[in-house]
Order: sequence, then structure tokens, then C-alpha cells
Amino acid sequence: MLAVEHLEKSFGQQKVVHDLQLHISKGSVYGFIGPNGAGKTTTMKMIAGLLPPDCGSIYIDGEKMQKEDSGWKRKIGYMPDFFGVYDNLKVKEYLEFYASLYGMVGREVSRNCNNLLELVHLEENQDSFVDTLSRGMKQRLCLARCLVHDPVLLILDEPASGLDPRSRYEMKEIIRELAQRKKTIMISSHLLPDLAKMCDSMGIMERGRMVLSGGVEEILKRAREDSFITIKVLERQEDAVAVLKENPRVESLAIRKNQFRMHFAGDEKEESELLATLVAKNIPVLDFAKENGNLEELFIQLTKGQEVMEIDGIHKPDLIERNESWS
Amino acid sequence: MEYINPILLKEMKVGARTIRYPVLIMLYNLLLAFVGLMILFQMNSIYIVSGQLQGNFLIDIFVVAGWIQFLTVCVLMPILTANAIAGERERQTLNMLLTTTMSSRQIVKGKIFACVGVVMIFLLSGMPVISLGLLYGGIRWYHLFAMQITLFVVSLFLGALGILCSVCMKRTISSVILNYVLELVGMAGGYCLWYVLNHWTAELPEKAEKWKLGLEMVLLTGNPATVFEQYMESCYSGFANEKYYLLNNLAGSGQTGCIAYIKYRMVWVGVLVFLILAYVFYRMASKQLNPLNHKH
Repeated sequence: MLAVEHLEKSFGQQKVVHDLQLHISKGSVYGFIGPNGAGKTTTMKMIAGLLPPDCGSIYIDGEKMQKEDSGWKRKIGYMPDFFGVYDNLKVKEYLEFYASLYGMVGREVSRNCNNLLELVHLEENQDSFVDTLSRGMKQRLCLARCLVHDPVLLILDEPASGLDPRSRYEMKEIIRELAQRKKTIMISSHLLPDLAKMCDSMGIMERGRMVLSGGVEEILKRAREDSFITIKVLERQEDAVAVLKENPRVESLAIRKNQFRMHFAGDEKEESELLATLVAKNIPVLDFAKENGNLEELFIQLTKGQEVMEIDGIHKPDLIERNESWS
Repeated sequence: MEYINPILLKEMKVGARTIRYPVLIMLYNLLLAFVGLMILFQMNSIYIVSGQLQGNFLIDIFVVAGWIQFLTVCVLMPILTANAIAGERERQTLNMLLTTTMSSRQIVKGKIFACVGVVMIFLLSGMPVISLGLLYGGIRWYHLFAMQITLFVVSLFLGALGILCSVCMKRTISSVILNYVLELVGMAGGYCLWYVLNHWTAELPEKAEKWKLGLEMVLLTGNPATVFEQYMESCYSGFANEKYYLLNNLAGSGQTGCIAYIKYRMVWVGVLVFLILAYVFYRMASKQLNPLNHKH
């Protein structure tokens, strides 16, 4: 359904998308993940026709995107991460306006808009003015707007951004419903657990490059294979840090006061040796636990930790140190 | 069946729901009515004193009200057009518009006609006052018609220019400022320059004289203020003596036959020039608006 070949984009001297390749099959849901500034929104804008790529090609349903021919626009429904609404326009009028922009007129438009409002649970608000709606309602309305011309591909840039848990749940349900209707959906989000449940395949982007791409099961399997060790010491934190830094199997280290969390590449024997080393140096270890990796950990490992990520409303530790910075 | 541009429809619908336009139209008509009343009052006063009815006062209503209409177009257009594209960009609604199958030309066309539509409502609402001269004699229906056509085309011209400014500038306020600067420098400045050239009496070398003539022609046909001024002057100098006016100018008064003919047919030459320029600005704005035309 969507094929992106060797896509590149620069803004001035800064290259924001490097040789990107992406394939989304028809009827699947593709999760597009990456930290802020990774190039996700830029990529989505290029696919939606809002930015010209410097080079590369985009194919939608086998048709190459051309500047001169705008037929491909009919196949795409785009929901930006930030959007505004018009004052003095009612909810149903808003949808009918966008339908008319696609050349749709007549009674069928009204019927179609009613169906969409039911889908997004806004049928009771159809006579309300759009600018009086809550944030969550506006997001749902924007999603309905994307669907008004029955596109085959939906590009949703952080559709659940800024929503409360209830609104997020409602948005997820709607997207799930759309997936069941065999819409091809490309969705970007920072809420990894939600994406993992909704998507068939995923791509992790970082600094303009796709660092990992594949089926969700495959990626989750890889994530689980990575294990993490959490160590809590009573005192002598600096000595503990020195021991951990010396160990070549410690690949990343997160420090928060007297707690350490690290990705450990060794086997069980090496884990026990690490514990033994700490104890031998009279470092009072309160807790030494191993946990299997998850998608968030894989994401943090693959990306460069440019920001602290929010996972289920809980911030990750404040400081992340990388092994390569110690040498 | 050709459907009405949906952007034009939406803009008119949304605009009609605010109190802003009715209030502005009311104030505008109050101003016109006040001007009309003052002139009638003056005419009446002179009649009481002299016992003679001065018909040119009725033409004064037409001319003064016409100028008020012209200035209304010049003041309103930049404000209306600035919000058209730059406002959409600020409100973050432009991207969603550009992802639809509406081409950038259709979007720009809809915006231009939406702004022109608002201005025309203002102009048409002033017709009762302007038509006083028609009612009592002094002007003819085709003079009224010609003036409205001129103002419509000037609106199109300024609308297209305003939309181009709105497309090029990121913010509404920047677009308004640019538009007013262009009007001030282009129209007002051009008018002043034309006035000076037109009243230049000193002898010039032949080559300079040709350059002066050329510049006068450009300013005469390409500047809405000059075109409108010439049209109003011809109205004021006597509609009943059009043939006399034409012959008088062609015969001499320091004007060449060509310029005199252009002045006489000023409205239509100007209309043609403004239509062409409006189309050029429209095409430029459409090209600039299309995001796939931009390379970063």
C-alpha cells in the first residue's frame, strides 16, 4: 500500500531524513516510533504531500506520488500532530466542508458525515460549534475529517497526544475499529505499550534513520531477549559506579541516587560474578534483580536518549550514561 | 453543473455569523449618508440664498461617495486578505487544506473571491447614497455601472495582491504591513508622481519628454488611484459634454491625442490592466502556496 524508497530530506545544512525505506502492506497498522526530532513528522509530511523530498520516491497503492497529479491525495487521510479548527463552524458543517473540498456534494455527504460522527462518538455534538469542543473531541473530529473521503491510507501523527487516559482509550478504540475495517494506518506515537497492542508492524526511527523495522512480534521477542539488571546499594555509590564501569558486559547504565539500572550483555555466570565483585569490595547491596526487556527499553537502547520518555505517565530516570562515553 | 468554490462558501458562511461585518457596514453607510446629507444641506442653503438649484452638488455626492468607496476598498482589502492564508497558517488549518484534492489555485481563487465578496457587499450597500445623483439628474446609469465595475476590478487586483502577500508572509500582521506599504508606495506614491508629471510645465529635451510620456502612460493605466482619479475628474467635468471633453482634449491643452484618448477611455484600459495584473498575482500566489514547489 505504501512504499517509500530512498527518501531524503534536508533543511538547510541539516539532514533530517537519511535514505529512508519503508513498506506498509495493505490493511495493516504500522507504528512509527522515535524520539522528538527523529524525523517522523517530516517523513509523514512528505508522504502526505506537504513537503517535497530532496530525493527518493513514494508510492501509494502502486501509484507514484507526482507533483503535477494530485490523484494520490484522495487516497490519503492525514491527521497532523498540531492542528487548529475554524471558528463559527458547526461540527457537521466542518465535516461537510472538508467533504466538499474533495468534490463530494449531495445527500450522500450528509449521510456519510452522520456515520462518521457516530464512529467517533460525536453524533450528539453535531450542532455544536467546533471551537467549543474539548481537546479529545477535537482530536476525534479531526480523525473523522481524515475519513470523510474514505481514504485507503491513514497517516496519524500522534493522534493521542495530550489526551487524558479516557480520551486516549476512546481514540485507541476508534483506531482499532478502523483497523478492523481494513484501513491501512501509519501511526506515530510515544505511547509504546499502546502501539505494541495496536500495530502489526513497527519502525523505530532515530536521527533520520530507521534503526529497526519489522513485525511487532519479532520486535517484542527481541526486546524480551534483552535483560536488565537493577541494583540498589545502601551506601558507597561511587565505588559501585566504578565497579560497574569496569565491567565490559555493562552496556548502558542509568543512575538514580543509590539505584542503578543497566543492560547487561553477559550470561548468568557473569551476572553472579558481578554481584560477587560488589560484595567483595564491601559495597552493601540491598537489591540485585534481573528483569526482561520490554519495548521501552529496546527503544531507549536503540535511540540516543535525547529526551526523557514518558511511559504510562512515569518519567524514566533523569540521567542516562552510555558505555561509549566512558572510554 | 459547476459548483461554487467550497472555500468561498465557507468563508461567506463563517463571516456572516459574526457581528463584525454588519456593524462595519452600518458605520460605513452612516458615513456615506452623513456625507450625502451634508452636501444636500449645502445645496439647499445655496438654493435658499440664491434661488438657484446647483446640479453639480449632486455630482459631488457621486464623486465624494465614490472616493469613500475607493478608499474603503484600499483599507479593507489588506485586512481581509492577510487573514486568508497567513491566518490559516497561524491557526494551523492550512496543512489540512493542502492535503485535500483542492489545488492551490482553487484555494487561492476561493480566498480572493471571498474577500472580494465582502468588499462588494460594502460597496453595494452604499448604492442608495451614490445613486442620489441618478435620482435627481447629473449622472447616468452607465456612469454608476462603470464606477462599480472599476471598483470591482480594483478589489480583484488588490485582493490578488493581498493574497500573494499573505502567502509569502508567515504572519498575518506582517502580511497586512507589507500590503499597506505596497499600497502606500505603489498607489499613493505612484499617484503623486503622476500628478507631478502631469502638471510639469517646464520644457524637456525630446528624449526626456518621451520618457516622461512613457512613465505617465504606465502610471495612468497601472495605478488604481490614478485611474480612479481620472475617471472621477471626467465625471466632474461634465457628463453632459462628453463629446466636448473628448474633442477638447484631442485638440490640444498640451496633451497628445493618445493620452487624451486613454484618459477618456481610462476606466476600460485600467480595468484591462488590473485584470491582467490580478491574474498574474493569482498565479504567483498559487505557485507559492503549493508546498511541493518549495525546496528547503
